[in-house]
Amino acid sequence: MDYYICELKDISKAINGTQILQNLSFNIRKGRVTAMLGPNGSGKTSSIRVILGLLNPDMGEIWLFNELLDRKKIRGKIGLLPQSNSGYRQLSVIDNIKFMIKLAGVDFNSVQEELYSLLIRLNMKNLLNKKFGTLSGGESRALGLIRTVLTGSEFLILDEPTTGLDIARAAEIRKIIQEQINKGKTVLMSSHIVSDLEGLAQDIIIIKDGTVDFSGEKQEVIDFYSPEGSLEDAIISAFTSKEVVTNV
Amino acid sequence: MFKTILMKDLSALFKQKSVILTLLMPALIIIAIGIIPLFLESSAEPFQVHYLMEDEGIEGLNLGSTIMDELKILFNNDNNIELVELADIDAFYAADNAFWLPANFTEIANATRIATYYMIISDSNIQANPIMTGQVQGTIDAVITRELLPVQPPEINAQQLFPDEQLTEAGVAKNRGNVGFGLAYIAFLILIMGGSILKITGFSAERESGMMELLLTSVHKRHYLILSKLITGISYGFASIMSYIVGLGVVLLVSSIVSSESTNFIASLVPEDIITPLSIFAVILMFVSLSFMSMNILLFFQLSMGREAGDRFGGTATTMLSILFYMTSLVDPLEESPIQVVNPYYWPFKLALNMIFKEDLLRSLLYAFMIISFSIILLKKQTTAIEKEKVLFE
Repeated sequence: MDYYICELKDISKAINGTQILQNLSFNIRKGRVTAMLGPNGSGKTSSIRVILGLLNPDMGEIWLFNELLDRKKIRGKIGLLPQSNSGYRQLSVIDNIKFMIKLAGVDFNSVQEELYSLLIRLNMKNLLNKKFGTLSGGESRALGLIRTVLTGSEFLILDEPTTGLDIARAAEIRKIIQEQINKGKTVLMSSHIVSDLEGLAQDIIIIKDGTVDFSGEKQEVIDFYSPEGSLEDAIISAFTSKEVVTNV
Repeated sequence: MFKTILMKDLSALFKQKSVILTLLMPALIIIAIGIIPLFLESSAEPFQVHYLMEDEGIEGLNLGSTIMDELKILFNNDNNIELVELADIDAFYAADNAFWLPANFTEIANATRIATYYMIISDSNIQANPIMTGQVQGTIDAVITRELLPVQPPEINAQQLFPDEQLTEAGVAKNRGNVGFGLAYIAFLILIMGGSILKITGFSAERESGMMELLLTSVHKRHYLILSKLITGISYGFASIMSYIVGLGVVLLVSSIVSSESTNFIASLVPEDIITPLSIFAVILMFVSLSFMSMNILLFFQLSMGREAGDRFGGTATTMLSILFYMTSLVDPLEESPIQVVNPYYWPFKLALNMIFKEDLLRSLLYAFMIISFSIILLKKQTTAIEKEKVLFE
């Protein structure tokens, strides 16, 4: 059981008569980067919300940190980078960061050094006193990741962490995520950017129509969908194939 | 954690320039309405109080003469007010601002203990109401009461004559009306502004800023989120009250400096004898309750119906309730019609009026009970709704 940080077993959920998740099962291994992929509307965000305890499944079990999920207990234990750029427009960048760090129960002084180091690496130190609303999309995204990392959670869920970032910042963000893995943290990432998947993902889960189409290590995904091609070919093949395959 | 959330909500609201400007508006408007006329009046012609004094008196008592003596002393040092004698009853009916003490005024008042005199007050002059119903009527009533009281308290009828000769309420009721109208107007502004601040601090704003998921996954006790927003709303309401108080304070201060307080329209709306610690507490309590209830209703709809429907329905409901409250109060702020009693915004208003005029303790307690019960029910519903996370998904 210690092998996995999160296990979803036969999760089904319908909202307003539409089945959004159906017998969804997958595991996330500790200390690794797992990428969750799927066409738009396939159920990725709903799966993430189930893990976060924000969406109560109609059926199935969720195991998190070796315990059956308790929606109230899980609050504050997972570091989340939401899909949309999140922050209070009227507050300064530093106030936004402080708020989320304090909310996570972390002493700001204890992470101040790490914060400045990350800001320098992402060339964002001069933005600290600016209003969040004045940041560009890429800057907001990078700031969101810094905030998520500093909350100190063991398990990070990153929804499209490099979307909107320039090449240099995206590469630095990938390094930062890798450093988190090196520290023993676990990352569940949703991304459609091939360089993220190639550079970071160790395990891949393909979700289609609310159920898992395939899950396994990166090379297994390539071998399964496009043995002669690249990772990108395999993903395109996975998204366009009609047949749903139940696997690992 | 609660302090962190509250400080964030307060910062997010009060760090906005538009919010600060909105809060300054009441003070600026009151100052403008109150002070500008003071300086305009000083260079204008004196306000003329016309009178027709026909009272012949009885042996040893002439109320009319005493009244005129006291009015002349009162206005002697005031360059802004002038007493002008009228020749006959036709001149009285033609005058803008006038009072008439009939020939048998003292005789009837002494015999029946009912003193009836007549007034005409112009609607077009901003000074007319405070001078005629305030100083003139106040002096007449004081003289009648003082002179006739040793025998038996008199009944005084100050009959105001309009061109169509309709009668209106007497001065005391007028004072209550002034307070009621003023409070209803300010309460209405706070209720309307309350709706606008929820767009900045409410759960819809959290979702628009992309923070809702983060908050719901980070905060262990979700009712902290609701309480924080309610306290932020109350703070805003309180800041609004302070804006009115500062504005009123500036007007009264300037009025006292230029010695024209008696002719100030804003100052005249607040009769001195009702400015007591209890009435100030009542007014603050009313504004705090209204802010709390307004935020409570809006948050309830946001959380229990989801963002889109909640915003639309909650916004419409609170606006309708605010308008109904104000419209029914305009008709008569002292009335208690069924359409007022079923409106939650009316309860703090009526409770405050009852406290100010020290009336109807039992009904006041009932209103207080209704306010508390209504708030607790909504809070419980919100706590249940936020656990279902409708605001996130619908």
